[in-house]
Amino acid sequence: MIRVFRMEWYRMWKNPAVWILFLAYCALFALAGGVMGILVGDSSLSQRFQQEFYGAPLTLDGGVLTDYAELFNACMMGNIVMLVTSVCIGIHATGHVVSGYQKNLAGVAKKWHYAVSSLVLLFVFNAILIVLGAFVLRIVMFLTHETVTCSSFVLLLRYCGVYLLLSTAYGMFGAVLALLTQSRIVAIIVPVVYCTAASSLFYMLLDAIAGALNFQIESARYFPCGSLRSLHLTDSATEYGKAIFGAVLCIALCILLSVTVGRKRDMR
Amino acid sequence: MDDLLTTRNLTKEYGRLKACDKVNMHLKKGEIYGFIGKNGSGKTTFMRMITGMAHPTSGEITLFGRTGSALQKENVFSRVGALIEAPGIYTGMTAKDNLRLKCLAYGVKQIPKYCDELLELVGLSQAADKRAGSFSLGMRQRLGIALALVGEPELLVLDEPTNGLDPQGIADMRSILQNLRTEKGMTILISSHILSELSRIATCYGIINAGQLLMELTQEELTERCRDRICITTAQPEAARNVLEQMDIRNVQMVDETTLHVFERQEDICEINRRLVLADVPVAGIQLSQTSVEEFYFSVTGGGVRT
Repeated sequence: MIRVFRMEWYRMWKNPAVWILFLAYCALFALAGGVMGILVGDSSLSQRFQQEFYGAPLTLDGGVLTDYAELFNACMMGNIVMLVTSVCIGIHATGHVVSGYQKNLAGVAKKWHYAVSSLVLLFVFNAILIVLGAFVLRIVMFLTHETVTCSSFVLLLRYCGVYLLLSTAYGMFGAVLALLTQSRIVAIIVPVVYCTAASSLFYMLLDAIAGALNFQIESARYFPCGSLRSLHLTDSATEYGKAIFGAVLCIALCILLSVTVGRKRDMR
Repeated sequence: MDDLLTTRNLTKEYGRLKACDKVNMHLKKGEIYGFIGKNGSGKTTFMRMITGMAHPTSGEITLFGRTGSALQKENVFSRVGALIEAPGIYTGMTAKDNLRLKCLAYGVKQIPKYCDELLELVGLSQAADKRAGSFSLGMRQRLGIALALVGEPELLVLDEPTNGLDPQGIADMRSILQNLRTEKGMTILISSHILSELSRIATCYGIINAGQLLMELTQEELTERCRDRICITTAQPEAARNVLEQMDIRNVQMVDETTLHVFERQEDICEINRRLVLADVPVAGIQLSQTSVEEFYFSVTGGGVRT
């Protein structure tokens, strides 16, 4: 399994598209952080920006966003990480199939090796994204505010940990989609459309169905994509628990599905 | 020699199409097995099944003494190197990186040196650091073979490996395969459309047509069936045989009720004819003949040259 992971890591390392994605991610994150930093003091403009650009309301301390943890939370609630992960999965996970390279590895690795190594790789990839985002934001805040303050480091760490789990789960969803469709275009477009628009409709539909059955549920909280867009630093432990439950369940289902499909399907 | 690979009633169906139909193959250790069949005859499907790329619909594969679920559990397919259809390579990566990836998956030690050796073996040393996307068809094929050789497989499965190779490349390939067999004791299963080329390296053959393995035969058996002979057609073959025995010609085969094949002293065809006539044996026809590998293949599969 470690061998497969090393191979996959090396492939990602050598893939120029991944480096371009990292650069694009940094630029997007700097833009988002910078814009929010510049908007300090204009709460109405800031909120409107948040709602239109990120689709998520932002908790502001008197309309002024000067706290590093709050700003980081606001940036992460956007779709940037999900978009970058989706594109990376589409490019990387379908590589074996598109190139036919998987034929060279028919006898060397078991299907669950691939599934678990994908999970680890996604975990590392998303950890890099989070650390990179935090670093970029710190530079941006330093440039816009000159001083950087962080009100709650513990809450920030908790948020980052759960966010990492959620984004890995979302990545696994993309990886399974890539495995099922074996199409690079579908593997990129579907997760991108899902995280930017379709997911909200899906959760609204689920909530409406639950409402019709006299059952109140905020379904978005149980799905990785919904949690990634709605989880806040100051949310209760219950909300974090729902997010963790959804992510773990999603990861388990994705591994099960990819192993089952991988075993049954012939290589192309 | 022990059987390294045997298949029993191996079948693969795609919907109603039977790509492989109850194939029973026997491949012994150290052999170069030439797999002959026209396009769509089931060669590639068979090769994909024995390398773990495709699941059989029914039947059994015994590889290195393991069968059934033990093949997957004990990673038996990792002892097989394969180049099937187009080589699977990352076109955005260099030749060396492509090899390096597989070396990482196989846990090869001293990867750079190992990759250099493989690239030299297949004649790609000069292009080691070039992107595989810029390779010609022949170069890709060479890289595919190098990839198949990673991990020192005991069984090498090559599907049309000479596709796209120039004459020098084909000769090099032949030499590489023969060296792998003699020096490393590798067993090789190779399919090719170029029958004359295959007949120069294979030690045994399997002829497949419409998904069915029609025949398995050794190089000696093939040579026997294709060698030079005098073909005598007569209404009295027994009498003809007696005359030949008087001439001390004993390597004679009675093909049917009117035909005899004589496998020696072809240079004495005129003398044989004279002696048969003198002995009042009615000779309807006498001629020197030889069957090419291609003609033999057509006679087995029922095909021929379209006019």
